[in-house]
Amino acid sequence: MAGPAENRIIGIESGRERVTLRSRLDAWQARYAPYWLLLPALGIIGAVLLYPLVHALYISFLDYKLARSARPFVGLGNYIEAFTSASFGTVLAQNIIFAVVCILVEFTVAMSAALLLNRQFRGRAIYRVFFLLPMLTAPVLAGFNWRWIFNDRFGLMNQIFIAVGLPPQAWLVEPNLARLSIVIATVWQGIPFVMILLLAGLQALPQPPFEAAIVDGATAWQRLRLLTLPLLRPVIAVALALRIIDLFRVFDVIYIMTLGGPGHATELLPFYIYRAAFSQSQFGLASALSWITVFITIVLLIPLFLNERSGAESEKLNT
Amino acid sequence: MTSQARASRGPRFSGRRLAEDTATYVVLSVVLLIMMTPILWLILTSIRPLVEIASTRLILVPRRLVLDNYLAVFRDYEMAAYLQNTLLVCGGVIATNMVIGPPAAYAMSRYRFRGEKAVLFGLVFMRMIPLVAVILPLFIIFSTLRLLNSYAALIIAHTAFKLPVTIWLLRAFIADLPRELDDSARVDGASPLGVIVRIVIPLIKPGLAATAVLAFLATWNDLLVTLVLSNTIKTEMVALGLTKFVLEYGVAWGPLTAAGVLMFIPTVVFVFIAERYLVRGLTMGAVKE
Repeated sequence: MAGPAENRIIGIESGRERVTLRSRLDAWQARYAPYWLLLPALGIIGAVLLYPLVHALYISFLDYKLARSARPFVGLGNYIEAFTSASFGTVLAQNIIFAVVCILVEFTVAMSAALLLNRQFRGRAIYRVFFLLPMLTAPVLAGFNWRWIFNDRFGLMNQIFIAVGLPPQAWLVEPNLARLSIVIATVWQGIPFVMILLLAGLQALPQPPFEAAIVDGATAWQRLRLLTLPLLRPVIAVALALRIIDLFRVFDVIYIMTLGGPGHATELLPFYIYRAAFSQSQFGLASALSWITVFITIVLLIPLFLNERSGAESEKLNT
Repeated sequence: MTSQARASRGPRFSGRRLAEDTATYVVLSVVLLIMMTPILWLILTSIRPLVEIASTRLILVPRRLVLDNYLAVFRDYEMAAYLQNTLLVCGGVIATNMVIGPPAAYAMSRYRFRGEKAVLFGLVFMRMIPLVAVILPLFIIFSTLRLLNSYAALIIAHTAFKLPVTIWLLRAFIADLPRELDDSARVDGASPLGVIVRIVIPLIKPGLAATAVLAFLATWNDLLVTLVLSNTIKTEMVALGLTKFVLEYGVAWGPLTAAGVLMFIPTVVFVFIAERYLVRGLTMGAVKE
């Protein structure tokens, strides 16, 4: 007779025990769940991105040449060599000018296109999709496309020049024309990127201020200058920051079109670093140059984070 | 009310409206034509006979259609191997991203935890650093491990390069889901992983597709990783393959453009599929659409 009752009590007790164990496990899980969910991702990012980056910092203090086993510590030697060499100064200045020129062209064209694409008209979706194609074209392919168009003998550009009676040009041989060619190939891919961001921003703008402005008789130019651009400022900041960072990462187009030449005329930082490492086998110097570029990236990222924070704050205020 | 306003505005503005629309079409069409020129010229060159390719005179439409270049890329060049290698690596990268990405994204969007900010900023930073800064030490590391010229090295490297974007994009998609859905499942005793597999993943299928497309395109388009980590036909990918059409005595433009068209096909297909999600993916969620 005591059996079932005993069993019942034991059952309850063990059940209770299970509950406490379970809740303890739950508490443990809830506390550490985000960490073990993130672990595989952070593990692989840490091993393949973060560790090499730190390793590069270490190498940047060594006189590291691939063919030689002795790798003496040289302190800031590689950084001093970088900043005292004439070519690095040229390439750095060139990359900055390149970024400024590209971003100005890209923003102007992209803003105009975005304003037009923001209008309601039939077939807008088709235009939009086709506009995106250059951005997603492989940079290698973009490089070859333009190298072919700028080919000095059989290229489309010179065929057009001859057709309209102009003398053909040595596009990729004459320094300034080569620079122009590189800029064209780069903005060709950059314009759609900036455009689609600005268009997304335009479509998210609140409508009432614009309706009120129309009622008040503001001209289209006034609406653009006094309403659209100020309201769009956060999106413009993100678009420009992302794009400028990318303009310090341009490699493929240079590798395909000019190999940095003639001379250093079209050489940009990533290709300069690549050449230091794999042509001159100067891994220490290349790592120092890499870290200078990483530092530039960090500086360029600051406005993006400030923007992100103010965005998050305004989001909080809204809710 | 808006239709009323439009109706009352209609008669006064319709003539001007028509003119504005026409101007929009004209300007956009001209810009689009200029933007499409390199792609159109690529396609046109690939189907031209050699005499037209090597011409100083402008010939817009090929006089006859020639497919020799497309045969040549498989017969005289290793295009088949490049495509096969690239598809294998892309498949591997998509698979790893789809397994590793969702749990990380779920943690980022549903939990508050110590170090969250650092992880967020870290992911953005890793998306922005110049690849060349990472690829040099990776070259040293992979050569020490004797992993140069292996699929494993390419897949591991690309997986890590794509993960920040994958996590950010999926995080935005998960944040859009109503919290009650997975909260109630968690109350019912499901583990986080169970919630992710049974509830979250089925609901973010479009997000997974968009993420997979972006990971695919970034891997498909990459030159630098394959340039540094592989130098044999066994692992060379299609972007590096294109450079093999640059021969000692000049560039084989016919076959090169044909190979370029083949390389471009997935881009076109995927732009049409994933166009809606591109903004989020490309800006790491900084701009919402």
